[in-house]
Amino acid sequence: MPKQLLNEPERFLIERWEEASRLEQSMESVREKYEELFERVTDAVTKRHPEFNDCKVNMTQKWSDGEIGFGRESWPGKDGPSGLWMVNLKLERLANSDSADPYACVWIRGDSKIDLESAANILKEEAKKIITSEQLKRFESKWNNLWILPAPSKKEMLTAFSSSDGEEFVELLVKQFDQMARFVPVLDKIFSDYYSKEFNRLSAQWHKDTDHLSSTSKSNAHPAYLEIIALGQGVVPFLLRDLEKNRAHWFKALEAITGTHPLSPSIAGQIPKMAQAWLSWAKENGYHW
Amino acid sequence: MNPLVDLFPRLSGNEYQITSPKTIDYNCIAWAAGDTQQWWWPSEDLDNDYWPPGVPRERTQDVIVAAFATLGYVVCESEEFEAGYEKIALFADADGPTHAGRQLANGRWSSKLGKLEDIEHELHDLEGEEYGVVALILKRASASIA
Repeated sequence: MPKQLLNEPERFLIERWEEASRLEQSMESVREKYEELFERVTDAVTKRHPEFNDCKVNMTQKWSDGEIGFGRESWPGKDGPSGLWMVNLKLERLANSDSADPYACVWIRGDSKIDLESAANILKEEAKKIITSEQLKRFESKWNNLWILPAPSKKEMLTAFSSSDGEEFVELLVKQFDQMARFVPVLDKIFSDYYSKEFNRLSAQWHKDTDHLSSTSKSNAHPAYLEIIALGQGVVPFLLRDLEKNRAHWFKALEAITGTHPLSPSIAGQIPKMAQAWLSWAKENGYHW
Repeated sequence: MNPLVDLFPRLSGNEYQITSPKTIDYNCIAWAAGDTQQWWWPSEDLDNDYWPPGVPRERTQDVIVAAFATLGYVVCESEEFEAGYEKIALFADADGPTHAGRQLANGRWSSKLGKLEDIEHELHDLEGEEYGVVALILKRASASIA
């Protein structure tokens, strides 16, 4: 007997195409409403916690299990900030009894050179103040750059989603990030220590290798200089401090990281004026160093 | 361990003097041009590096000669001291110009080493891996000093 083109469930659909079609539309509509709620969550969390100036939501991508994360531009990570995350949030996962529960976590990008052992100790000390001893047992995960925090269950999340106008769901997640935001000061310290160490190491190498050169093109293309640029926003306070104190030539690095050009040809080459122009711009734009 | 000698091994055993402390406000080209207020370099970056207006911005010997020509310098043959003239030596490596120094009245040379110190030295003592070799000499009549 030749193999059937359609299997049994597919044949079932053919027989009830109209109902199936309505069901398909409803499912799509529910997904859209669910995903839209995360825009409200993002707005609400960043409004309550302006310290979070970086956010990522991965809810529609096929590869994702549904994630939302908040961090700071000064923390490592561009496409997904190191910081505070909730994972396993995709509607399919919440509604599937076999799927794992959502979890919350502190996550540090694995490609940074942060001393994770030291970071783990600092985070654990902070966690002791925030979560119960039972919850603390789950804090350390199988990954050395991810620490688990308690999160609402699938049932709690689905109930909040399906009742009222979605506000209950938004409040549930805002409350979750209220709790997690308590880790911000310690994460600031961990990342600041990291940037300080990296900046000192790389700038020493750069000075050693290029201070005798007149060519700015060559100095600015030195691998250590490029590595400093790659550190991103978190290193900016250190560049500004060095610029203010020593008028070190961080002009191109600042330009590359901030995407700003506060200099003009009228002061080109006049290092004190160029330094002042950058420092003024940084003050006006809320940088602290 | 002497960091300058590490960079310029020919300074070792020869007399050189540090004549001013480190500063990052000007560089060798500026120093040779008599300017201690600006960092001169022919990069394409108009906002960051000073370069004389109208002179092309690329790292070639011709461009450096053109820049010094705006101050009255012309190419000459001899690196020897000539009374009534000021001289500039241009160093270059395979990639192009690297450094410039200016001659002192005693016949020795004065160089600002990038962001490091100014030193007084024998002309060829800075030759080597970092700056390459003396590629040409420029001169102008002393009377043309501004």
